[in-house]
Amino acid sequence: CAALSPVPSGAPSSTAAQAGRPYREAIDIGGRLSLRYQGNSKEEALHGSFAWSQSGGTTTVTLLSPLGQTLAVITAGPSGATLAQSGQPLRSAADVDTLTAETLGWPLPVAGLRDWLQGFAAARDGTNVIATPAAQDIVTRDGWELRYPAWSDAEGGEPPHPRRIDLARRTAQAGDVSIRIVIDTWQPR
Amino acid sequence: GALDQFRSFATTTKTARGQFTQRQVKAVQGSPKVSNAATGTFAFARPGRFVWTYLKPYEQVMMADGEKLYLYDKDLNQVTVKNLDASTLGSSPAAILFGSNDLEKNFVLKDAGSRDGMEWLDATPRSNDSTFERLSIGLKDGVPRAMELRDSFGQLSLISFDKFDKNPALPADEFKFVPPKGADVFQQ
Repeated sequence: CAALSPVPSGAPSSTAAQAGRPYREAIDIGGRLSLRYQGNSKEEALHGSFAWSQSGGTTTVTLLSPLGQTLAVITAGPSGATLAQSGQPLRSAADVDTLTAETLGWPLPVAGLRDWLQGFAAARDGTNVIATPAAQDIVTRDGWELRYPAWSDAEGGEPPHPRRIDLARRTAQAGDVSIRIVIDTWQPR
Repeated sequence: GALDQFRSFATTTKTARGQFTQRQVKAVQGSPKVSNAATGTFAFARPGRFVWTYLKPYEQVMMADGEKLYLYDKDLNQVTVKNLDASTLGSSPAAILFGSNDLEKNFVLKDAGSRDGMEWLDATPRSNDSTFERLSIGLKDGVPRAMELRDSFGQLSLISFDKFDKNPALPADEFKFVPPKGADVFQQ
């Protein structure tokens, strides 16, 4: 397989081979997240955990309360996105990011996270970049600032993958949004 | 039955302390899949003060000091501080057992018979915006031994109280939250 060439420090490299970490189309990821955003009257904060299941063109994200109750189930696929909350009618929209922003009151960038959870991103200048322990900061094309401060240790032949991801962006509907994600389980399919 | 055991528990228990194990059960393609257990400790003092601490597999603290609710996660390196009001307390299971508000105001309670060596009580939220559909409390010798929380997506949280000391003396600062050094604190 491709020799793992050292990654130039500082600038995220542009090829998967350099990072030694393939992009996984089908993967289940679980972890915790916390979130801060500007609600309509005051600053809001949310803590919880998530289960992320991605295969083919479809992504299903379950958001859970700290004690494990389902807060929302979001699915995003080629034919649009749906969002289910307990005690509420199912909502759907063409674009998942607008759906989450309208329904939850804060944008969960599901489309972008398909790449960002694995440390891949389209940078501001349009090039595809890959975060690594030596290159942790990326500004994405749609203005999210990503930081990868913690990484898993390589085990079982799997190269290190992101362990903690911080996302920040100024948004129209929810002001300054900052999301922190910690990845606990990482199962490529 | 469970209802009178719970009522006497609510009136005679001023403080408590113990250990818990929590498992999630979710239906995966129709068959129940049990997640690995999280374990931790808890303590409470009526009215309105409790601490629910996860130790494994990660460190997380939920603490109510009667006024504020603190949520700390070590890996996220973050503390969120919220005002304690009925909405934060009313539907949170930790608050149900240990909170100050009277359970029957927020829940319909009914005896659910005995199973697994415990007498069970079903509590159904009166308002439909709570995150769970039903909560069951298993009591034995007058104290809760287990709690089951079912949400409307079929996700089940099973909590067992492996140790439950009733009315222990608690240190004065048991419910005083001190943000760990370097953690980012967000006041809501």
